[in-house]
Amino acid sequence: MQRLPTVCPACDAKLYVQTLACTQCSTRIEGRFPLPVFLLLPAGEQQFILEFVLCSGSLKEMASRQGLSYPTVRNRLDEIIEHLKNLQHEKSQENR
Amino acid sequence: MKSLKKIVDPFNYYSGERTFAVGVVGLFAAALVNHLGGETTRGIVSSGYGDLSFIQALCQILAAWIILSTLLYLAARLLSKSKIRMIDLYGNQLLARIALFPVLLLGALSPLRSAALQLTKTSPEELAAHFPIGLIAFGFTALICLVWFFLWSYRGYAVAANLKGWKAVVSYMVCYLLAEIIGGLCTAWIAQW
Repeated sequence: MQRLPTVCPACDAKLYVQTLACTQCSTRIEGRFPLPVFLLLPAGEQQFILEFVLCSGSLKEMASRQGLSYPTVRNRLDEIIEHLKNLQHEKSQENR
Repeated sequence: MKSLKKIVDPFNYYSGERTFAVGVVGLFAAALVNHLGGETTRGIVSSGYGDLSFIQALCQILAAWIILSTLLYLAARLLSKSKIRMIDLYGNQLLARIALFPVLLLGALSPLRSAALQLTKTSPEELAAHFPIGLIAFGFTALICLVWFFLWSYRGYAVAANLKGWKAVVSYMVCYLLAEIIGGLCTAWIAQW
C-alpha cells in the first residue's frame, strides 16, 4: 500500500492536499486542505493509535497483544502524546 | 535475536505482577542461601560472612531492595512526566537482584568460604606464592554478576520511570549512592539483632 507523503521531498516543507476527487462521479474539489494532525505522525505511531483505540484504550491489553511490558507500551503512548502536542502547537503557530 | 534482547533488557517485555512474583521467589532463595551459607548482605550489593538467622538474612535483603527502590521511585516521581506504577519499579528492582544470586551461591560453598576468610590472614608474599586461582575466578564471576545487576537495575528504573539520557543516569547514580549509605547502616543494624 502506498504511504501518504507529508513532507516535500524537494524542500522538506509541509505538504497540503490540493485536490480531492470523487470515485463515483469524478467530481473534483480543489482548494487548500491542510493534513490532519494524525496524518502528520509516522506510520508506526498511526498504527499504534489505531491499535490503542481497537483495544478500547486498554494499555494492558495492548501490551499483552504486542508481547511487550506495560511500561514499554505506556512510554510509547507518552512519546506519541508529546509528538501530537508539538504538532498541534506548530499548527496553531501557522494559523496565526 | 529477540531472546537475546529479553535477556539483556527483560523489562521491555516483562513487568508488573509477573516480575514481582519471580523477584519474591529470588528474594527468599537468596535469604535461604545467606542463612545456610553463613553470608550477610552489606549495603545494596555487597556481601560478607557472618552467622544470621533466616529472618535476619531476609530482612537485610528486603532492606537493600526497599531502600534502593524507594529512592528510585521518589526520583522518578520528581523527574518523569509519565504516570509510574509502584509495582513496575519495585518489581523490576526485585528482579534485578536475581543477577547477584550466582555470587551468593558460589560464596556459600565451603571451600570458597574458607579461602575467602583465609585471605584476610594471608600476607602478600604468601598470596603471591600460592596463586589463589579459585578466588580469582570467583572474583571475575562476581564482577560479571555485578555488571549484570547494574545493567538490569538501571534498565528496570529507566523503563518503569520513562526516563532517558542524563536524567536517568544521574538520578540513578545519586539514588544508588544514597541507598548504599542508608542500606549499609540498615543492614549493619539488622546484623546486630
